[in-house]
Amino acid sequence: MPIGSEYYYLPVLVLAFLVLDLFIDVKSLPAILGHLFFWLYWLIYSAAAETALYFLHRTNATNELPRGIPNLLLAFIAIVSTTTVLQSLTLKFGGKPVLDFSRYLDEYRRGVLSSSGECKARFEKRRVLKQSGLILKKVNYNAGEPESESRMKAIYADAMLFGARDPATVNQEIVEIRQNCANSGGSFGALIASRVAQTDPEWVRNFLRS
Amino acid sequence: MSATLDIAKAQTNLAQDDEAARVFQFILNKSAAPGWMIVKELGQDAATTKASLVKLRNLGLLEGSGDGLDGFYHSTSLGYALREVL
Repeated sequence: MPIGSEYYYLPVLVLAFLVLDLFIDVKSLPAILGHLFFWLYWLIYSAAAETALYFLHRTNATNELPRGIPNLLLAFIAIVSTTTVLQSLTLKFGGKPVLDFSRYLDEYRRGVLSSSGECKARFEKRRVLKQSGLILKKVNYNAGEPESESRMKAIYADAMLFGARDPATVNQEIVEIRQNCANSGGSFGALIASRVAQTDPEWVRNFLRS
Repeated sequence: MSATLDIAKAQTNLAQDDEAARVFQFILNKSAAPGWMIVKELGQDAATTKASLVKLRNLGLLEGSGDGLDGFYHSTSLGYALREVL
């Protein structure tokens, strides 16, 4: 039997299906695609969907399904049936599950979500680094220069005074950051900028635009 | 079985700690977040958020790079398992 084109584009449809499924939780496409666990998940799902499609073609050929079903619809049915079968595949013996494939799959899916979260946390770190650099550039920060330091303090106070926080708390945090810098030899401006970027990316975007 | 016990333990802990439950829910919604962002978005006291993060980490619901509020946090597999029963 010649291999139809639907066998080639089915993995792409599976990819779209899995990305949509995970995107609801992760909300970041690069974080979903950025680790090996996802691609293994996709491989397992694609192999199962290809098998389902093969059986659908066979039943179609033996007239158990109406003839003339579009290939795209067959591929869609293959994905839906794969999902329902994988999500409920359990072998019970003596009333106890001996092989609970659906549980393994759920556990693996949770692992994929966790790895995507880890990936997203890495992207967040990169965003913080980038925004910190842009803040320092915008205020033309020079370490040790009193004017630069006061400007960074003002930025911190502006960004970190939110909700029920009072100026005394914010001032105390500035003192702690200064102490940390003295202990570690880090840059006061860089630490302030990093803290602000961690706290409120939107505030930083507005600040950089102003 | 061990995972089931961990989930039950975490569920009991979160039921008794509203602030930690809010932090956990926020991280699940965002998928990953820096500690200071949680302080701002939830309008919590910094010390409360920090304590919640330590608690959630000890329960195995969160993982993070860095310590305290300067860390970046995401949910673990156990965290996602707990979400399914909450």
